[in-house]
Amino acid sequence: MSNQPAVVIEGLGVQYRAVKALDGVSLTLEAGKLLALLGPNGAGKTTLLSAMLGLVKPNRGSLALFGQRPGSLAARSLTGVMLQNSGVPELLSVAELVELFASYHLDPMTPDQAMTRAGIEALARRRFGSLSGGQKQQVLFALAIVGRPRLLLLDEPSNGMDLQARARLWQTVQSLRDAGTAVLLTTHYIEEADRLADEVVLLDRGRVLASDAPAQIKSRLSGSEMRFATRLDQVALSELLAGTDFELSGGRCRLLSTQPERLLARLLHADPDLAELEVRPTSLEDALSALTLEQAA
Amino acid sequence: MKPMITVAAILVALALGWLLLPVPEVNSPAGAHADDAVTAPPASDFTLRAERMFTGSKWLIPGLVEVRDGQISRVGSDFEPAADLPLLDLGDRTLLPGLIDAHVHAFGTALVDALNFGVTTVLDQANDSALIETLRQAAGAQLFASGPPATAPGGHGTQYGYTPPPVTGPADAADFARTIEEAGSDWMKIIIERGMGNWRMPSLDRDTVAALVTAAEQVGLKPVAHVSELETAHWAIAAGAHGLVHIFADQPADDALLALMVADHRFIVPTLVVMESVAGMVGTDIENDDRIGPWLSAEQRGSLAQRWPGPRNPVLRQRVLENVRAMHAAGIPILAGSDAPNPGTAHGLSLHRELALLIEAGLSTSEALAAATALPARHFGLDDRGLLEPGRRADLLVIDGDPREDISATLDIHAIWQAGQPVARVQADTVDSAPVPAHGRLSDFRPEAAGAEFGLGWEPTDDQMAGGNSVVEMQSGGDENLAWVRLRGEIRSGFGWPWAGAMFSPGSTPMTPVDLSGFSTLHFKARGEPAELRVMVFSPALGAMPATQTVSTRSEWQSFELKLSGFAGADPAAISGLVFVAGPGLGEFAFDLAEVRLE
Amino acid sequence: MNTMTEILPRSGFQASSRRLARALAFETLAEWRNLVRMPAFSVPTLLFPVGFYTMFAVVLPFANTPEAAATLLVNFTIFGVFGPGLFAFGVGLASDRDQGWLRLKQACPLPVPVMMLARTLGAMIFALVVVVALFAVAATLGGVRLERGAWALLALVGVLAVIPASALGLAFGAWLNARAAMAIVNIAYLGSAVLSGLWFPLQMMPSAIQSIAPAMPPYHLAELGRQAAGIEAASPACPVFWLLCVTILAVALAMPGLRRPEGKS
Repeated sequence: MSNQPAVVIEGLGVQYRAVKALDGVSLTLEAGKLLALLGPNGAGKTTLLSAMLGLVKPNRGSLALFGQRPGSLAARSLTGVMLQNSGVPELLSVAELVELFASYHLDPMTPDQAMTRAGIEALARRRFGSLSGGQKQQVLFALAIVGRPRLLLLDEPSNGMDLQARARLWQTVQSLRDAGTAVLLTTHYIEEADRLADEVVLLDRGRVLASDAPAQIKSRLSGSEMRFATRLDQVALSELLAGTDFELSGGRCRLLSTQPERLLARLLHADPDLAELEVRPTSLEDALSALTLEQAA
Repeated sequence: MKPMITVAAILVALALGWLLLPVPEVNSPAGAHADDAVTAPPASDFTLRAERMFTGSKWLIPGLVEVRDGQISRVGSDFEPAADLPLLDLGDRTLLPGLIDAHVHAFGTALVDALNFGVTTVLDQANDSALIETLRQAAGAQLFASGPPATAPGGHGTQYGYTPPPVTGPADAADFARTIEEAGSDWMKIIIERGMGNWRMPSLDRDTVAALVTAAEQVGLKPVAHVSELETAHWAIAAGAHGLVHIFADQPADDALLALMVADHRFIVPTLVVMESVAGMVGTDIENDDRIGPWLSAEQRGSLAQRWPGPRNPVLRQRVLENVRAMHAAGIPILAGSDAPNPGTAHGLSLHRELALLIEAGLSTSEALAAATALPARHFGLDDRGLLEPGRRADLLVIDGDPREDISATLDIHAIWQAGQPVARVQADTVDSAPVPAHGRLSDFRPEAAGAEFGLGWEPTDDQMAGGNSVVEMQSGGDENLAWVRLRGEIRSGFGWPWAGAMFSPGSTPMTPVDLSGFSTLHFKARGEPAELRVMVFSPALGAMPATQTVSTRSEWQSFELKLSGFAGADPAAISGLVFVAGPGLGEFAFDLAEVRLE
Repeated sequence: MNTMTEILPRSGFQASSRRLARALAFETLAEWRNLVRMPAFSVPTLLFPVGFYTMFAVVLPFANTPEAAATLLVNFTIFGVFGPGLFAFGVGLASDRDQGWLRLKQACPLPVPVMMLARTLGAMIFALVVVVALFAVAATLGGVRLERGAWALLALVGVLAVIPASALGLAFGAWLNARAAMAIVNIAYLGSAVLSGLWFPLQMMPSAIQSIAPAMPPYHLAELGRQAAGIEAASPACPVFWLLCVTILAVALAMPGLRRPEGKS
């Protein structure tokens, strides 16, 4: 059991009527590792999390948490969860909530420990309803960690948090991971994934686009976008830019590259009249759409 | 640890609060004159053993009854009494179910009076819904009732001060049934009464009777009929009425009616005791029977003393007995009912006389007893009483002696239980013997005086005690010449004969009669906006209805002088109240009274 | 505790009845706190029965016999204790589901039956508060006198009445969204109270209502209450059986609603 991966997912498919929310997703998460799930809205991140909690029944494939069926009491007792948009009873105080969640577990932290590690010790007596959005996220994080989970599932945990709270969050997540907790988080922020994750999984329209160490992913994603006007035609450009995708329409070209300088030298040599040149770093959205393009090709 | 202490503290507080909750006081006898001679019977859970027991259907000799939680739990001749219950050996006595009077009209003290004579349940055959609702909550015999009767406008049943829902024809039947059913009626009483001889009155016709019977069945009420003629008895039975609540006297019962009643399992409540009284031959002897006299209330004495108009009519008496004899011989169930408090009858007491008359009409003692127990329970759907058998209410009557030898033994009442609770019999009020001052002054309305020279004195009175809505306020006033009392209020509709005003009680307790035969006239001064002022005298001889004289007042003071003999029917030797009231006309009123005295 | 251990999977996880008891205690405490701190819940469910009872029993002299006084207390006790369970489940569960709180709880290692039990217990504590308040008014101003055992039995009936009320609330809460639940549960609560004769004696009602009354759970609870108070002597088996059937039926009706897939269907 100790060597068992925290999460093993193979060929997972979830279908809501005609919509394929997940389509053949496979991934593995070992103890003491942090996996970041990246993807645009609607990519299937939340569905994947729901499936891991047993809240959604997959149509195909298999899913196991420490070898247990998701949603089973055994799996739930090993898992700490932080979900988006959890409406917590607003009339309970923070300390009462943390104490309540601690009582669900066999060997929980003390409520004080959990609150300290989530950075909300000062909010203990406040009613949940009186907190800001970021503070509420911190409380939900405390609820997720109070049971000393061996698997931590965090759905957009840093949403709405200020910088200080965010730093505290990542510090705690890191220390939990170092202590052997497997962490799976979804995020919009590529830098967060880059800094923390042992592995990044890119998800789009229910499918895994890429799954790799952050450095590799980053190299595939980081790069520049070039736009220019040229008299070169499709054939000439294909030769010049061998291996790089580009779009040409009406004498205007757009392309993505990790080596813009080298390409630029070749282009200027072939077309000294090259004009309206723009070069800028790509965004995550661009990178993802680039990957999506790659896949589609 | 701390939460444990909190929880423990809450539990202790709850337990302490529980101990503080009030519990009922031990029942003390309701009447001031509870009979000490009757040893207090055990309450609620006990076993009784008697030499003889009639269960309502059969005799058990000896008889044993076990009572738990107000219900009969075991009945037999030879079971081993439960060790945990007190056993009361009644010896040479007879144990009967509490009696059921299947035909009464309950007013005033009716329920207490009935219970005092061992009648634990009464069936009211026509009365005002509001009064019934009040009486259902009252102490005494348990009441079941038809509510207002179905009768023709202005017909029999409309003369009692309330207006039954109108029935002008078959079209009104369904509405009538629904109305009384919603008002809480337990069955439907249909009155078919065309009068007798020259005395004629409006009555329901045959079609309307049929429609009423159908409507009653539709709302789940049993229809029963008041008839006084063979012909109308035919109407009722042909329409499907479940029973007749009087025997008719105009003609002998014919075979067709008997056959129809037998075939349809119809019953009759002949009310022989009231027929006997109508025939001018009241058979109840109050004065020479010490099993009766001491236990009679003023109201019972009053109704017994009243008489129907007309001469002795032995033929009538014989005919009703013969008709009951014929019905009994045909196998028609006969139920005992008294029609109290009609003239010559009294609640409770008259049911005992009815038993004797039923035996005279050919019933065996057992059949007569069943007529006052099991049969009314069966035919009026009272499945919880009427029989001594497990599961039924412990309504019990213990009498000295053996009714099979002499049915009047039922008057030798030893003890009564109602739903397992002992009933303390109440001795009659006697005439107050305190001397009445010779000056005869009833009022001294000067503020510093107590109000009256003798007796309980003056108090405001209104019809709210009878379920009405009238109000009155009493205030004293005056100048150096004259002290008076002012009565102002409003007569409002609600009770049949609305009233409000002031009452003088000559006795030391309310409604205790006082001997005023040393006086002949009532003098008083009164003033008030042009108004009718009614002066009423209550006397046990009159029953619940007072005798009345009316005077007209003006806005100036006026002296009045009324002869006591002008209060028809009142017995000057026993006057229980003098009342000055406005009404029955509705509206606001105000009048002043002063210098009330007897001479 | 048997049923709870059965739900636990055989492998790996060691069931600890001690932990479950602790979770139950905290969950109950949280439910109770959540109920009392919500004025929209606690004010009507406490003040309505106590206020109406005071009005009918103290201000208006409707109870002119000891039996009538006790009957009024029984009726308003049942009215008072029927609310907490009905609302805690009917409205509470629906809004917890709408807000996503239920979803988070479902991901926690807390067996669903324990969660439901805690909610029932929280409502029971609230019902007990209503009972205590009503008894205080009844004993001081209402002139109610009952045997010592009868007080206790009536309180017990009041607390246990939360069970069928909760089951019915569960059926509402499982299928309705919070907004609809608030309206429908209120109608069901007040309607069933009136139709069961808790407010006005059934004898005063039209016969149609009198015939509907036995279909209302509070009608049977009131019957049990009268038996507990010693006003009516009969076997409790019939109302108990009826209420058990209602409870089982309501839970059975709720089940598919609770299991229905994620969120908005």
